[in-house]
Amino acid sequence: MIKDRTRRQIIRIIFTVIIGLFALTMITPFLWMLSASMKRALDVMKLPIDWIPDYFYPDNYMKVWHIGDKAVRDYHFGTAYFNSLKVAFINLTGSVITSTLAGYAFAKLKFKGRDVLFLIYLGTMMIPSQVTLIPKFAIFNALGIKGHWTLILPGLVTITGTFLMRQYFMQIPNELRESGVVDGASEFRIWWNIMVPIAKPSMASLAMIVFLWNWNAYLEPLVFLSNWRQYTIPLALTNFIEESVTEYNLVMAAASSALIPAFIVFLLGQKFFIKGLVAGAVKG
Amino acid sequence: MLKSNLTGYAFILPNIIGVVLFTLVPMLYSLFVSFTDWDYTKGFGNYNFIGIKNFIDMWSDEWFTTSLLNTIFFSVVVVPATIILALVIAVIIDRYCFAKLPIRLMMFMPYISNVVAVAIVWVMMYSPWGPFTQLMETFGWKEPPQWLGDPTWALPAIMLMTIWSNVGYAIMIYTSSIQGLPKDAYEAAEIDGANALQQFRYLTINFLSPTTFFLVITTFITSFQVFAPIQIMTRGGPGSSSNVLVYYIYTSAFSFYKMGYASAMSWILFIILFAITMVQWHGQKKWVSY
Amino acid sequence: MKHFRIIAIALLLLAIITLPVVAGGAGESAKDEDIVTLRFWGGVPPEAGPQASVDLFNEQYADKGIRVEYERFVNDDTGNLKLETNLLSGDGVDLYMTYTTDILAKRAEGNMALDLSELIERDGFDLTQYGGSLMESYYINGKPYCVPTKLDQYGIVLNKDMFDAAGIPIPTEWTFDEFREVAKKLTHGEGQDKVYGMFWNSQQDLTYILSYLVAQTNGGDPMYLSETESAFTDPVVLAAVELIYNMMNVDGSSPTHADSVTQKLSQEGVFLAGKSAMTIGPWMVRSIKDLDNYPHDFVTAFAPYPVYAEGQRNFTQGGYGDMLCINPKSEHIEEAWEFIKWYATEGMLPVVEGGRVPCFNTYDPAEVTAAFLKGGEELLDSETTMTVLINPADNYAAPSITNHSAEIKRVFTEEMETILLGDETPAEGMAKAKERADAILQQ
Repeated sequence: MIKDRTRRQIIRIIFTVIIGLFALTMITPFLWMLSASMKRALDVMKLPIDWIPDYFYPDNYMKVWHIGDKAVRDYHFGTAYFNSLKVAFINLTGSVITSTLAGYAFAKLKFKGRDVLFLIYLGTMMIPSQVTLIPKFAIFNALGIKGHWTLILPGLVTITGTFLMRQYFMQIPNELRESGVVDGASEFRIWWNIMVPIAKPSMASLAMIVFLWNWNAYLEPLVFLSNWRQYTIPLALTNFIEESVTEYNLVMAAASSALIPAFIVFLLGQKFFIKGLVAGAVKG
Repeated sequence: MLKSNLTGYAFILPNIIGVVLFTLVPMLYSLFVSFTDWDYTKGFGNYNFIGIKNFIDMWSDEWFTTSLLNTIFFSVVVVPATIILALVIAVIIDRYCFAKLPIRLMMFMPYISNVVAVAIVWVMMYSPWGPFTQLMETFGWKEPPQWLGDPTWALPAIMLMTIWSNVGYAIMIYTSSIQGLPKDAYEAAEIDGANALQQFRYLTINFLSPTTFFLVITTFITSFQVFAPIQIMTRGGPGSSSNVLVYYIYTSAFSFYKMGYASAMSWILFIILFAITMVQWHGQKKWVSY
Repeated sequence: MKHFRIIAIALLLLAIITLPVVAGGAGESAKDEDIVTLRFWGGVPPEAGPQASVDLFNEQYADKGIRVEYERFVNDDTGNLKLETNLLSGDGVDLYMTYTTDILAKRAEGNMALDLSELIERDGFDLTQYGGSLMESYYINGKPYCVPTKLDQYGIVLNKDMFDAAGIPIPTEWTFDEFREVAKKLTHGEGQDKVYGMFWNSQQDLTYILSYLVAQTNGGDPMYLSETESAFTDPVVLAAVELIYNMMNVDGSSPTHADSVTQKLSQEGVFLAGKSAMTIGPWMVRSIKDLDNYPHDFVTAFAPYPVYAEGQRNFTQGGYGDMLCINPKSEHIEEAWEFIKWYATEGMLPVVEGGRVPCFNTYDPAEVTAAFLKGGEELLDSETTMTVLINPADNYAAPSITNHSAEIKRVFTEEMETILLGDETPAEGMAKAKERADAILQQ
């Protein structure tokens, strides 16, 4: 019995080491990125790779962020950061509200055409965003909608989010709602006082997912946004490579700057985040 | 009844408005445009109806056929590779590892990373002095190819990166399903003398089949829509070796100004995705056990 | 649940802070009612001259109530798309630069560029009086939609110190073969220390060779034989393709295309770092003068692009560029026109320092040369700078065909890449390019 246990422990240690090594390879690109972002230009290409440079060189980050005298060109990284945060937070707030409202209605309220409507919703989930890209581009141009509105207006509603919230409310027992009905509360009151409080963890999960979608969105901002005042982080980054191709150390500093906040947000809220992803998957 | 109808509509109204304005209307508009030769620089009213010409022409357009084949190749490799890798790793972590959470989080990091930043980093990884090339050399591969600069390797290189960035997501999804697996079935199997591999083969794969089914569909859909890595890493090159469908749709719309043609291709993309999902939906009965 | 409350409060706060910004975001224009602010879009980084030029204008026109703001767009597909989105949606741009005639034609026909005929006639600003009959080549359907401002006259950029050390005189006339020999002679070393004879900068653009090497013999439409037939199997095109192929893959006298792509090589990183004796494009004059970022101590000189064979220099490589256009939807057309006239006739000196030579005859050549060399007197060879880049010729080849040019360029680039990576012979590849291109042209 004891022998069997130690054997198991040894197996565990071996597997932990193997998988740990694998996980380490998974984050190698990030480690390399960080390392290169703190080197001088020529040292980036030096072989063998110097993982921890023996000097500290913050100039790259200062150039990227346009701080200090050495920063000749303004890459407008700060603006892009602010824009990304702005769009992400507005869309997150908006889509959590609209999804929670509609998700609840689709799950618990009875009204004519509900199931047909929901089916249409499910159908549209399959439409790739590329189909609507060109018409949106044309419609926005025709109506004079521009700048961040082109990301915010469509971003306030997400079909996946609605679906996610509906799935959540489906598993809430009907008695909960009925207790409110008995008390004579209006549907909106029931939603606000009973449903929203219990749905908070799901809402938080949805919020995290929407934040990440928006933070990483590329194709639509690429087509819709038209100048640096409006650029979000991914666009600022592509713009950055186009302007300073040769300075890999700078490019890596820019990439690190773009990634680190997402990592922090994720690590802080990983519980909610993973729950959200999994909810969409398993119950779907 | 009327009142409850109205309440229901009120709840979904904001949502409906959004879906109608930014999904349904554009969808119909796109369908309409796909039957025209519209060039957006000529203005909004300036187009000719050309019937199904766009839908016919594309099959003799080398760019379209190449990019479609590349996309299929891309998905056919990326989807199974991601899922098999994730399944194996998820099971090993769950059964045999210490420090489960940190390991999972490390593997999940690529998935939450900004795809532009990730693509830029991988361009450097694949350069002759980059860590990936170095790693291949230490493994004994003398004179490895110039990954992104080689028509044979450019697409596989991007595929590897895509697997890398998606596997964490699949692991997370599997992990949560694994935690719901019925313990008694495994105990019974153990009593019957089934070893770990047999348990994996006969129990785990079976129990996890609904999750696998879900992952197959979602990763298929996302890999069919791959765009950003191509645009940033190779621009479809060298030659047209890494051109994929969505990148070609983008090029024809915004660089060749052929909006009608691009819309037609985006509908083909939709039809393909729809067909794949339907086929899998019907096929699942054969291998998914709920 | 504690976590949730913190997150919720943080989100709410952020939303409250950011909402007014969104709402106010649209109204960023016109703070002062009296001053007209023009938005001027160009593809050159502001610090390479445009900003200084615009500042000069703002100073001179301060009392006339016109201000210009310079906005940079990256001159590639995406950048041009962004510019066009702004043009189509009506505001955001008053005047802008167009860099190639195919795009100019597109914009003229798509009502994104104003027909300048009336303004020109009213002010007696006839373009031919400033730039000769070549100006008419930049008319679209017989009408001026732009004011070309720059002389696009280029040549091979070379490291004079390396030429001197090898005892090679700076060429004033050479053929593809002679050029190839020179590049071979200048190549030496191995591995990290290797110095190449030539750097083609092929990861950036592969159609250069057409506009530079081929146009000198075949004229302004090196890609076309006619509106419906491409020229990719023309002997001159084929010879140019073979030249590059041989230098990269046979002689090893230039970095290969794969190297250029995977390492994202640039002229600055190769030529200015002393790793090649020659490079293709003198649009890096600004970098040559920038010793802080690109430290080097050799003298840079220039030579005309080599030609197909002796006696085949039928045209001088060059033409007009930096074509200034007015957005027809601009509310300040008069003021924009005012700026264009000023810029074209006198405002370009700060841009000359960044390596852009004006094409109007209103500039004093001595002044232009001085500005061109300014800050790089020790680094640029003044004689060849004058003869190759500044002194205008009278036999440029102007482009006239723009049919499906984006697609045709893409076809050429793809086949060219396949050739350079060794998967097709030049003859096979160009035959295929012609077949594909002709199919597109005859649609």
